[in-house]
Amino acid sequence: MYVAGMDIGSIFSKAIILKDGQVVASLIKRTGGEIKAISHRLMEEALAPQGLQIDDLKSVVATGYGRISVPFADKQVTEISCFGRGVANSFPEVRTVIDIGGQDSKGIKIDERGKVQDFVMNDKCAAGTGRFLEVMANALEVSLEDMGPLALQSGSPEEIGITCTVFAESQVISLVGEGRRKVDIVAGIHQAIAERIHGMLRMLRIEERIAITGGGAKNIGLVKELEKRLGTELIVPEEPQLIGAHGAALLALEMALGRKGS
Amino acid sequence: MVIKELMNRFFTVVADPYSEAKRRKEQGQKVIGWLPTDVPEELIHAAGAFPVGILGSSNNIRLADTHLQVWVCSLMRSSLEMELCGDLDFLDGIIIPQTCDTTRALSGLWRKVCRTPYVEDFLLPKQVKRPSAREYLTGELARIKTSLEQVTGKKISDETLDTSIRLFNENRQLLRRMFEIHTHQPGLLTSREVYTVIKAAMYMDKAEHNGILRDLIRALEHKAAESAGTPDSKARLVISGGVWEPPEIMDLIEEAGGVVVGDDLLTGMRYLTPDVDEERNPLEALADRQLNKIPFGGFDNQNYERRRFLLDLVRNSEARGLIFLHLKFCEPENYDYNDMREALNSAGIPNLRLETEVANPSLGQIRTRLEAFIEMIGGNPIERTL
Ligand code: SF4
Repeated sequence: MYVAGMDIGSIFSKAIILKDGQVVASLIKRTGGEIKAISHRLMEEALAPQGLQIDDLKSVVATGYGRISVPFADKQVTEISCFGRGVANSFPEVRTVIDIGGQDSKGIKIDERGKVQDFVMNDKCAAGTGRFLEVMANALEVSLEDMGPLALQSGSPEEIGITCTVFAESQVISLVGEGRRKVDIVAGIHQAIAERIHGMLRMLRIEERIAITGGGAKNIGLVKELEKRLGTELIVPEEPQLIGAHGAALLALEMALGRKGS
Repeated sequence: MVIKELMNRFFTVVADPYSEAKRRKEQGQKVIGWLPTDVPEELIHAAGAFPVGILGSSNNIRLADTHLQVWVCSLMRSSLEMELCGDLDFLDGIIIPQTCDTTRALSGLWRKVCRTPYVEDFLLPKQVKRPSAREYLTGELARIKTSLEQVTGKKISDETLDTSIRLFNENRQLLRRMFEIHTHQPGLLTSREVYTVIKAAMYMDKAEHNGILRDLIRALEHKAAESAGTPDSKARLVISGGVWEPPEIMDLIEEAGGVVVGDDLLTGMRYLTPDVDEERNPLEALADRQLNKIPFGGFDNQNYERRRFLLDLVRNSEARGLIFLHLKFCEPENYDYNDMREALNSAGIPNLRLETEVANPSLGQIRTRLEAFIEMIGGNPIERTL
């Protein structure tokens, strides 16, 4: 029996196909254009190697900010519930999930089955999210992938305020103008984001172990800065961006088996 | 069907809130507005004027930003905007309650930059536990009474004030009855409908509102009897905060699978509780109503601490969780929040904080938070069709 989960994020869309509960295909693509069309294309592409079509799926759960626009989804579930479910599947010892996505970041507390106990989400502002890193990478003419490793090379990070993305960007530009070292600026940016996310997490009673998911988890500089502040090692799943889609697929499986969704 | 028609009347009022006020004005009656909340409308009514609430609007804020910084709550920025745009030209006067620093500053500003001929303050006591509070408040109400008499040229006798008090008590009682039916059978009206009826009371003639509301209650009671026993799967929720703005927030809550069965909102329970004692000296009784109001960020209750109040509210409403609905930059609520959240957490009551603004709603993230919260506490979202 085949089921699928789709996570339509603000920057990336992800799909996962399960066959009898096991992952048989996964795909990540940039979100761009009309979501209805993208979700169709993405799902068809993920199914093609299996020789399957959307109609062969017993059940589909959609999540992410574009979840309401996936025409073939049987159910929409927020990314908060899906990340909880996805993480608990691989790491039942995790009690807190930090998710750093393109447009927002979240702290989620879960029980051993991945059921959400409490959560916080950042404000509308992009500071503390993937978008912020992207803006800064652009301003510094550094590729997004290089940002994390660069940050680790600095011995004396610059101080960067992070009340607002626009202010931070102009601050970064003036630092560049003053001829400051790029690595120090990059490191400062990571500290600022980590500070912001840590501030948000303090609204929760954080319990260990802590996992980090979403695109931000792939940034080693950010992971290290957060670990410093949290005083513990973070669990980084192999495919941190796929956790939401995986959670959605697991919920789809439960639906298909006739059990109530989490 | 009858319910729909009656509800339409209330929806028409909140969509065009000042048509009745303007009609009154044309007929030569004085119109006195009030800012949220707690202004004793009974005094305005007894002075022969028409009281009407000024609660901001969903229009963009442009002109007000010349005078108020963007970190002032949008309720007051939007209300000032309405005046500066000329939307409140029908007002003969306005009473501004000094609830927080913002309203205190706004009162001076209103006198300076607005055209409203008569601007009066309602100076609420802050130390409500002191015995002097009652005496002070009775004096303050007497001062406003005299001030209103001067502006309308009509003396307010104890008899006319008693008559007004009875009319407004009746309105509160009817509203509470409607709310009670709703909490027993939350499927009869939507959350937005319930709160729209309450909001409409702030714009309408009370006698007219009472009449329609009585019909609505009759229709609801009838339907309740018919549909008794129908299970309701919605997650019962309490809302705590200032105002339920933007109004779409109520739709989002229902779409996410929730229903509002209790609140401490200025445009909710705070407006319809408690009654004024009809047996007493009217000014003292009005003062007592004020002192016994349910607590909120800007005003304590003399013998009901807010933390305890909220816990009781959740329990008595049989709610599964509480949503703090805070206006961005509402400082009384912001200062109160951590204490309140702690109290709820300690009692094991799931809670969520949403920040909204009166104008310019941006609701995408709010939808996600709401849905996640209701998924967390267990509830069935309404099926969405594309
Ligand atoms: S109490 Fe809050 S919402 Fe009301 S006027 Fe003051 S700051 Fe604005």
